Amino acid sequence: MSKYCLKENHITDEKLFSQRRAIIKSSLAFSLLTFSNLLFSNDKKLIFSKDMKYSTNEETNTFKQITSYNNFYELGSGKRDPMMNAEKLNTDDWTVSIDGEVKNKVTLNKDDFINKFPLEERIYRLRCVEAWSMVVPWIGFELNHIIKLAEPTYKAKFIAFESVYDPENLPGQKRNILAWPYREGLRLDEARNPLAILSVGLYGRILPNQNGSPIRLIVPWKYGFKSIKSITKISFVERMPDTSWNLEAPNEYGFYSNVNPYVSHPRWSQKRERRIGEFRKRDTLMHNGYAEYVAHLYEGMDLTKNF
Amino acid sequence: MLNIFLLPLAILISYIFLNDEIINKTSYVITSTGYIALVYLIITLSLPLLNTISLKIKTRLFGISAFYFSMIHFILYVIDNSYDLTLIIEDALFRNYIIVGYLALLLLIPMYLTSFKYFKDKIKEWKKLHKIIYAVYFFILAHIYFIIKADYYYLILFSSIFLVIIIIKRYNIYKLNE
Repeated sequence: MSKYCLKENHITDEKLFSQRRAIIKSSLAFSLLTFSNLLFSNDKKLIFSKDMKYSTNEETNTFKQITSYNNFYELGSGKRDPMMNAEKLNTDDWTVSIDGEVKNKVTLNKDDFINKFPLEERIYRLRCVEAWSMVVPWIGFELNHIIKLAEPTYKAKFIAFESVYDPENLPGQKRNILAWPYREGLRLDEARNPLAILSVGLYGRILPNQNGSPIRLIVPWKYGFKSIKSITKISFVERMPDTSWNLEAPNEYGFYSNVNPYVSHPRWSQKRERRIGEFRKRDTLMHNGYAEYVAHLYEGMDLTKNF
Repeated sequence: MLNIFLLPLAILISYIFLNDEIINKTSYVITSTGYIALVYLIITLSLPLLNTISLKIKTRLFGISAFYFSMIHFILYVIDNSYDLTLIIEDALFRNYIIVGYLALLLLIPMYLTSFKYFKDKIKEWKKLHKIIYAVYFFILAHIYFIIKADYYYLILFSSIFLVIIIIKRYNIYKLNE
């Protein structure tokens, strides 16, 4: 195995070691813990359970790989740009409005997402449409919890997500690289699939800004761009919503964008991928290896047309 | 040759091996050798302009180095595909960015060969032949165009440089007597 990959338990040990003083302090001040977490929420260690059913036991990519090789065009289109410009994303006073065809229109703030839902660790493969991949230990909760909270009416067939819009501060939004704000969507039955989660953290801590803080979608059987970052709006809608990459190039990025080695991108092959940290490319799996959980969603559909 | 080709190559290789901040090293080295080849091509095109002003630098070594970096760029692409011929042939037939990449590479070969005295003596018209450098530049721009997802910044930058060079040469702004 390459030296750039470490086993997940190695990472945790190292992190615990490096924070040994912080851990001692916080255990001494246990009664003040919840209060201090409110003040210093960025340093907060999340409390979560470990999922065994859906998580892969593959080696996870390192924290450094996951946080310094990103596509987050709002923070710049180079792979290192999101890390370099991370502080330009202001997540203070963040709210997410949940609206549309629902019984309960609600607005949640970023602490609600950490406190109101049962957080669990999901170790998922992530396959980028650019033919590279990683394994990431996300912390989050099933999107189902939001659907239950909102109670969609019979009219709701899709969920539309919208990301942050702040052209004054976000360097990527100073130019019309994509149709801002970034938009994504799922069919309601896709959103109900237990694999679909909203993530608030990785490696046991709050999401770094470049990974889509404070809350992002993770749909591991779809190309990475479907997993919209830094969500500000979740709308339940009747018609298939517009999505940013589909608006940019409709013949290249479909609404579904399921990982599929048999349907190539019009300009490059999707048969193989480079797992970050490995030298030789590996074969890409149908639905990124999650076919047993999601293939039934697309039964009877022509996947070359509904790409 | 040492200063112009081997030294930058050595710097690039050591940079990639020593820099832990480069996460996707294979992709990085493939992309950077491609861009270095393009920059060398621009230098090759621009030096005659500068030479008429004051400088006297031999353009030949830059042209040859551009060819070597393109070859490294191509060989790394083949290695990256695990020498798998089915993948490489599929790319060559169906992927636009690969097709124009091959066109640029193939057109560099006659220029490379006629940069040696043996072929210069055989082909007296070698200077005219070297006008295909403009076609090479065009195919490189197409190569970049076909791989961009959304951000056209670098394509616009390199296209603008191409236009400026063409305009200067076309209108003979520096009174070149090629």
